[in-house]
Amino acid sequence: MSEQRPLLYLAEFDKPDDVMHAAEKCRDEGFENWDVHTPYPLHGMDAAMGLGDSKLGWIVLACGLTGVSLAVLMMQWMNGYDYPLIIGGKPPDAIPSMVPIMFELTVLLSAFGAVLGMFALNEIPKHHHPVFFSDRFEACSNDKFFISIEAEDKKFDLEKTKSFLEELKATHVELVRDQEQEEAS
Amino acid sequence: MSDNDQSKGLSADDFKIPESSSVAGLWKKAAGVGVVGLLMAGAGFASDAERFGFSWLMGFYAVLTMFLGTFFFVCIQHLTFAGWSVTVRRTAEFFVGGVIVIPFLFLPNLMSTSQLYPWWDLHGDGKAHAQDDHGAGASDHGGHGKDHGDAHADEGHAHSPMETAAHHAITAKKAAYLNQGFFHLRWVVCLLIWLWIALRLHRLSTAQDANGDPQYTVKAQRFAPAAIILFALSLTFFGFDWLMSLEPNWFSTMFGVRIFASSAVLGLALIILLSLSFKNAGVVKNEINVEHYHDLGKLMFGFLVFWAYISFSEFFLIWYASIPEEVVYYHMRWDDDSWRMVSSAIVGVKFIIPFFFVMSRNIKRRLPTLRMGALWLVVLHFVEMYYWVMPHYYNKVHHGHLALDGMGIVTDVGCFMACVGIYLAVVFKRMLNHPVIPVKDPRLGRALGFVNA
Repeated sequence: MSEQRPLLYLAEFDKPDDVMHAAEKCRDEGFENWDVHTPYPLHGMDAAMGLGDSKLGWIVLACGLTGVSLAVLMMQWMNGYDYPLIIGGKPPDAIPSMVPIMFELTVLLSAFGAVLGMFALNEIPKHHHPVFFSDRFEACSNDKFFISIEAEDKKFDLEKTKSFLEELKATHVELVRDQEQEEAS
Repeated sequence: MSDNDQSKGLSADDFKIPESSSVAGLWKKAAGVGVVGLLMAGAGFASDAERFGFSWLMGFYAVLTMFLGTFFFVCIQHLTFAGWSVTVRRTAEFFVGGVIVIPFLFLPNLMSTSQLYPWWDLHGDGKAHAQDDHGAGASDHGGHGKDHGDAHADEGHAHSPMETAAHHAITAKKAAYLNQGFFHLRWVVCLLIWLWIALRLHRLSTAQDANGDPQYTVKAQRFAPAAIILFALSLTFFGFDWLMSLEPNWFSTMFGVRIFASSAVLGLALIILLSLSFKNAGVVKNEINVEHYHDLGKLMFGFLVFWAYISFSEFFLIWYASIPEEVVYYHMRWDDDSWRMVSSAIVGVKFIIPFFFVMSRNIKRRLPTLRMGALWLVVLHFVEMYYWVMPHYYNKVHHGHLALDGMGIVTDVGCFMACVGIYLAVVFKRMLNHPVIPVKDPRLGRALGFVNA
């Protein structure tokens, strides 16, 4: 049986502190296609992984500004220009009566932007990931911590990356190979 | 993380403000401002006692909202058993401890009641004292602007004796509430409540510095629910009495909430500013860090939005219904160009600009920019205090036009400086007696290890 294409290294850790330090090392080493998998959120992991600010805020801001502009344009055109109605003796294009719609559309589009933008940034839905080829990875939802470094990474090297991970107090390092091709052939 | 280990080594002496520190002398500066303000206010009183009454009420409310906002913060931390805020809670408690000077700052208001309140000398039958030309005379105006001249002539608000009688009749129906005896009883009760709830929470926290007995924390927590209810009621009724009844025909059930929301924003801004000066002076180091400031900034931003939301809702319903005795409040602040500018500034400069400025996470986590945002909101809060009180004065004497003459500015600025200066002098002097963080609070470890998600 010929060996299948290597996909990623999976390093297993017992303690959150160890995975935190290991993440810092991976960050300093300059890996790009890598990730940390933990059973619960670890405070400080963002900094340890060297993650920058999420872009989600800018997406939500753009959606919110679109919402408020849309509301002003819509109300001004509909009630102020196209079909002016005088309600309660107020001018048809009075600003105060448009504020609730400005508010609602801002919130609505911001919420859409936040949810859908979060999905997009997290690449959800994603039906499969190579880490699931590993049986040991099931412990990630229980009491183990993992770092995965993908073969696509420019700095990935079968020998060097393995020894690099082993130096990081990893309790177990596993090379995950592609299995789908095996089934196909 | 092993947070609790960090808190064991702290002693009260390490966190007392040393005499050499730059913040130790703050109270002298504040007292200087207060004394200069008192002199200016005295000159203002001598030249125009009526204006002084309104100016002093404005200055007093500037201080009262500082107290109310910071008290709310302290109380809500006990209510929610909050661990994150322990290190910054003491900063708020310093402002709360300044409550002892509030009754003294309040007293000058009592000299002016007959000039401030149109209902003051009104009898239950709707007839005013014949000899009085201030109290009852003022309610004639009723915001409909008898003297507004051209601005109002086209609105059909010509003033007739019948209309005056109608205004008196409306006010007279409120006589069961708006009468001198009940009014005096209410402010006495409100001041006693504030002294009691504020000094009790202040004492429970500072007493704990000595021995760290967790019973103090338990007592504060048990007291907090009653305190917050008393706080809400006293704030609301005091606001009805001293601000809303400046125009007795006007009423708004949202008014107490508006006072609360403004105070909450101000309180959080003040906590940010004072604790930042502790940090810059080196009195605290990492005990108050960017995580705490980030959360204070989030709360400040949140309450700013809340304030805008309820202020607009209040205006919106009144604007839509357009019932004469309700819209007077906004006519007084909009019909004349000068007040229209102030009203617009409140919307644009107190809400829209800081809303976009403080929204970003990075702005809140960078301390210089957070300080700028907090300072901005404090300054604009005081503009709002002016907007709350002074239109009622100008409506009486200047046809609603904000005409600032030299002596008027001296009186306004003097009263403001006197109230805020004296209050801050007391706050800054009393804070030298206590460590700037509650060193023996059982939840201190949680605040030290606090990290924002």
